[in-house]
Amino acid sequence: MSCDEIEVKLLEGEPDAATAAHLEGCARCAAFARESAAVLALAVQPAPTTAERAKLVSLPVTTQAQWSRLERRRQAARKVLALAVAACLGAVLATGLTWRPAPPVPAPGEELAVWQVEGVPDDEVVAPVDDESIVEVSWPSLNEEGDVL
Amino acid sequence: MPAGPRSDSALCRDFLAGESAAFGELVRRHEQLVFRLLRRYTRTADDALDLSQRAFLQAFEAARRALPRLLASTGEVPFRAWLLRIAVNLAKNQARDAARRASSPLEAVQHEALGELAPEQLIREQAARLTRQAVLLLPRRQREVLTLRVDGELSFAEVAQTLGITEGNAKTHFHYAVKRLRDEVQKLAPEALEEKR
Repeated sequence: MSCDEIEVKLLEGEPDAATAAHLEGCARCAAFARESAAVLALAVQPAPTTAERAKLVSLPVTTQAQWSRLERRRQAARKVLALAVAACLGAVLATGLTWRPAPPVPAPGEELAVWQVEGVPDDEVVAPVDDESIVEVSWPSLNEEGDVL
Repeated sequence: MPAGPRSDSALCRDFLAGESAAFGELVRRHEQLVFRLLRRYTRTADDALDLSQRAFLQAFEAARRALPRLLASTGEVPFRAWLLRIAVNLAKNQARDAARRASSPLEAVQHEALGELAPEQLIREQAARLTRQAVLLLPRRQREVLTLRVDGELSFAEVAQTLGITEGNAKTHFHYAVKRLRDEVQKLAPEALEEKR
């Protein structure tokens, strides 16, 4: 096994017989093993002190109390939301009951419906048009010289 | 034959089904681990306690949201992994805020009296503080892997599960973290390593 492989084995915390044999004969790896162990021992966070442990004792109770408080707040928020939704639904329903559709707007070119106005004779609504009163308009005819005939 | 301790999954299910005692049991089971992980990043024990409480509340909330889905599939609630991941995230935020305030949590500790320690103990204690300070200056992923491994005493598989990375990746980060720390300690407190020789 190479020194690099030994380093990996050591840091993984799985030294086997081959690693131990390598360490016996390799000063570099032996120093690495020693120093790494020392550094890790220095890096570890100390266990809670007596004072800290005393404070930790209350953690389950205070955390549960906080959970219950948050739960009550969530329930209250849910109730408010449900009320708001109900109010919106009520408003929509009330609007739906009183709503009437607007008369249809005819599309361009579409024939308009004729509404009979009660009590008013037809001839008073629109005067009839005589055929004679229609005047045809056209371009004047010209002779060969271009004069109007 | 007496029944063994209930699993985290069972406690989670029981609590969410209305058994409030299960809540306390779960908190008691993991409080030391979470507190120790977070204590490294905070100035005071009270701050670590506050963060621990937040970690537990968020983990319970996550369990509540995921429980129906998990029960339908595996039935297992990875409560510990969630809890530690949340704690690691809270620690990360704490470290970021401490950096913004330009005062490391350990600076406060530095000013604490070292008491009546023997010279050898004093040297070791100072080296330990410098090393813990160096841990906070490691790149984030290296720091997370290292603290879960040394404070949480998690296996590499558990570290990987907690951080959502591969086991090989966790080992690589740990390897680099230890090498970096060793270099730092050799620079700042070589006597701490000499002592062991």
